[in-house]
Amino acid sequence: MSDDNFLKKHRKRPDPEFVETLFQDINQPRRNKLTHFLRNSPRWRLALVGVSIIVILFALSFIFSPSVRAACTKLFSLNGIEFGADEALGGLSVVSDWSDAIIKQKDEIIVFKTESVMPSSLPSLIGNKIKITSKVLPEIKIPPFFKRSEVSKLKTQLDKSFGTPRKRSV
Amino acid sequence: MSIVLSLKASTPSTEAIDWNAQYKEHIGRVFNFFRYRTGNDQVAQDLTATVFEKAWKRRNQFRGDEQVFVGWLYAIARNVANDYFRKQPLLVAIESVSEVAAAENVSDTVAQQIEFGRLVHFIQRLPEREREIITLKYGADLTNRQIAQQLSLSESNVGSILHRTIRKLRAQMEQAP
Repeated sequence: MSDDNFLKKHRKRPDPEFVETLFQDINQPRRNKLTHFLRNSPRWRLALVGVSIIVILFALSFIFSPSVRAACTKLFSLNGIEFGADEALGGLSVVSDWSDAIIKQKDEIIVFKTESVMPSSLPSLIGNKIKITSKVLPEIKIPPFFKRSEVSKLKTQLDKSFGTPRKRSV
Repeated sequence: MSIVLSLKASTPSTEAIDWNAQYKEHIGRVFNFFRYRTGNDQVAQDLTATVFEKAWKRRNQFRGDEQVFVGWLYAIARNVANDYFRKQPLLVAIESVSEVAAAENVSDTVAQQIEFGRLVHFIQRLPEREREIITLKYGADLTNRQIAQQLSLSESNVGSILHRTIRKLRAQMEQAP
């Protein structure tokens, strides 16, 4: 009995069935070829990561772009119409869905109405995205039925958001 | 370990290895490596399967010859063993050796099983380095040089640790149970 026979003699062959089954398992074709392909193709994996980063950046820039932010951020509400800042346009946007509160938009004149208007009477305005830009802003004519305090509030908000317009007739 | 392996791995050989032949060559050795660590055939089979599944999944990334393959495969095996004992630190208790033996393969004699159970009991209580050297040597049947590469030791150091550990184990085995 050699020195280390008490250690060697306990070695045994694994069960042949186990050996065969495992051999078949590890050599069978991958079920998910895409996963297998990406796992074994570092370049493609890198490309996928790159594309993902671009998509995420695009989504973030879209979400946080000034126009979208303006649509999401309500500055104030006036007679049922909600306004938000639009830095890209340098003016205000109408962010509410109450486009039927605007009864007329022609050239640089926008006329509001306090009462609800049936959509059928405003076919040209319904569904349009209405923006009041700084170019349009000075020419806004607010109807006389707006309360004085509300007009004052609007002026204050406009000044605060965009500075005093060059010519504004309220 | 990592220094020797990474140096070899960084100089890929153009000689492709025969994976099927490597499987046949190492399946039994990896299985016995785990048997000597756990003392349980079923657990040894499960851990062996884990090693080969991991190795075969990464086979397209493997660069090197047979010598590098051996170092790579047993590095995976050692990691799998470490993971297993981290999650399940239960060792074979000397009192339960005869019960384990009776439940094991009936083709082995109960006496052999008891003896093997006692051996595993003592192996599991060795310091980590000695335990790894013993199981790589007598379970996985690696040479002293391969063990030295695996554990980042000199070959002579492996030889002297082996000598000392075998003597210790033999003394323990020769004591009355």
